[in-house]
Amino acid sequence: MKIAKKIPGRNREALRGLLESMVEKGAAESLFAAAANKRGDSFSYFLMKRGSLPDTLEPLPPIMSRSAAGMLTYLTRKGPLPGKTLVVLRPCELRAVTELRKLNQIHADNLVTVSFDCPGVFPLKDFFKGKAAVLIEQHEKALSDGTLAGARNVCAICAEFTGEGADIELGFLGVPEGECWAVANTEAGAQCLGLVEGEDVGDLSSRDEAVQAAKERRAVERKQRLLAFQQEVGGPENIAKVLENCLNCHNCMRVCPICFCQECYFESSAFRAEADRFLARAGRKKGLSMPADTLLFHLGRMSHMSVSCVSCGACEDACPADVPVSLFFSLVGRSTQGIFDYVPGRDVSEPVPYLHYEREEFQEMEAPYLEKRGQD
Amino acid sequence: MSGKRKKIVAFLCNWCTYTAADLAGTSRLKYEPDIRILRVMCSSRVDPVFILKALMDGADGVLVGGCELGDCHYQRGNYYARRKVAVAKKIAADMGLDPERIRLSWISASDGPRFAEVVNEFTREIEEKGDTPVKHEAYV
Repeated sequence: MKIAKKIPGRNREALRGLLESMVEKGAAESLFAAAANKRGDSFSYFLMKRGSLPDTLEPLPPIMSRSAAGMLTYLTRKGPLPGKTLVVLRPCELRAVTELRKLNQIHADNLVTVSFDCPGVFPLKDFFKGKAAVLIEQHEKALSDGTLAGARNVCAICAEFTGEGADIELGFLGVPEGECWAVANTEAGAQCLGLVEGEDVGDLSSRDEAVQAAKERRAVERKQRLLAFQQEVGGPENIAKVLENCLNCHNCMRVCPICFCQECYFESSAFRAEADRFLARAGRKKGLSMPADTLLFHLGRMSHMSVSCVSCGACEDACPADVPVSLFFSLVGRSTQGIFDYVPGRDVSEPVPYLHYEREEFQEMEAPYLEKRGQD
Repeated sequence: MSGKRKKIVAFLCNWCTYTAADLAGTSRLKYEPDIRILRVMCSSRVDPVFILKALMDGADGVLVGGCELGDCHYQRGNYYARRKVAVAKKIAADMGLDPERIRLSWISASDGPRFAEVVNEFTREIEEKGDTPVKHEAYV
């Protein structure tokens, strides 16, 4: 079942060629991937149909403007796509899609996912301020060597940067210059990839080794960075310091692929109260920062979505106040996911912790009252 | 009991722990009055946010009460509640709040005396801990 083909061309050129020829050969009716906007130096996801593919296709943009997972929720809200659709996803977007499928937020029928070795992306603001052509070239280079200088916080410490969960996975690391390797991981992927011409890759070991080495390096960096961040934000005062620049604009929630609720609890009337209630809190607390409950908003998101947080960093890109939201959620996510030994996006058959339980677990959460009484 | 009263917010499930509280009252059992009871239909209704909100706002302790495992009125609610409390405790700990200020207890509807004992025991624990450090601090 596992087939691997050599695709000619430099990284982004190779992926573009592969997608175009798969669609042309009838592997899929439509394509959901990034393309350049009319201005040329910014990128968005586009839904495209066979026969009318734009010539601006740019499936590996150096920025992540919005998570594709959130858009797939939007796209398939009323039912699956009617024909086979190739969907190009970054590894973090792919994990988010897996989470959303478990939560019944994405109809995955007919989707054929394509993912790749992702070196990370630039922060949106840096990209828009910088010279697009230069940054795109830097990103192209990074695709081959796996490290992107100036990448976003979470990208720099991402240890799950390959498309191994996708139907078709594109390898750029550890492959000869001027080509990339397409590997079909599933039957659906093999059907699509089988239509494309290309020499078979016999021995995948050079890529496996390169990926393994990069993964180990990133895992160490991740651990160290999160540890440093944990020391920086430990204790309520320090957390408040990091979060007090927050404008309470809820942008992070809006762009978060995992935050799928139609109405957010934090935008509901639950937080409306009479002025004298606010005044009472102000008196008790040496002043009440307004809008109130800003920290609670973040604590709430931590408890609602951090178990499924895939560390995609969309929140931080959307933050107008430069709050390190993505590191915060990576840190808290690691610890809440740790309670359940849960890795978001690992396996679609692994249930989300909040929708599942074991009869015998977390006995330490129940106060040891019975035992105490037994001793009396 | 000496000193100033503490503030303990208690989320009690309608079918068991709240009924036990009712029974404790009608049986004229005495228990510490530091507790403020909120009735919820099921312990799994208690979102970790409720617990964290109470703690951030200066509650000295939070008690979540539900039916005994296997006796949930909605079959499985208390199993989910246990997971939610686990998350709330974890986040509280990560935020530097004392997770032992959160307590989960199963008290069945017929066990009024046990309700009184749990409240007394938890109040004692909280008194030993003293006021929560965030009580008078302004946080964003």
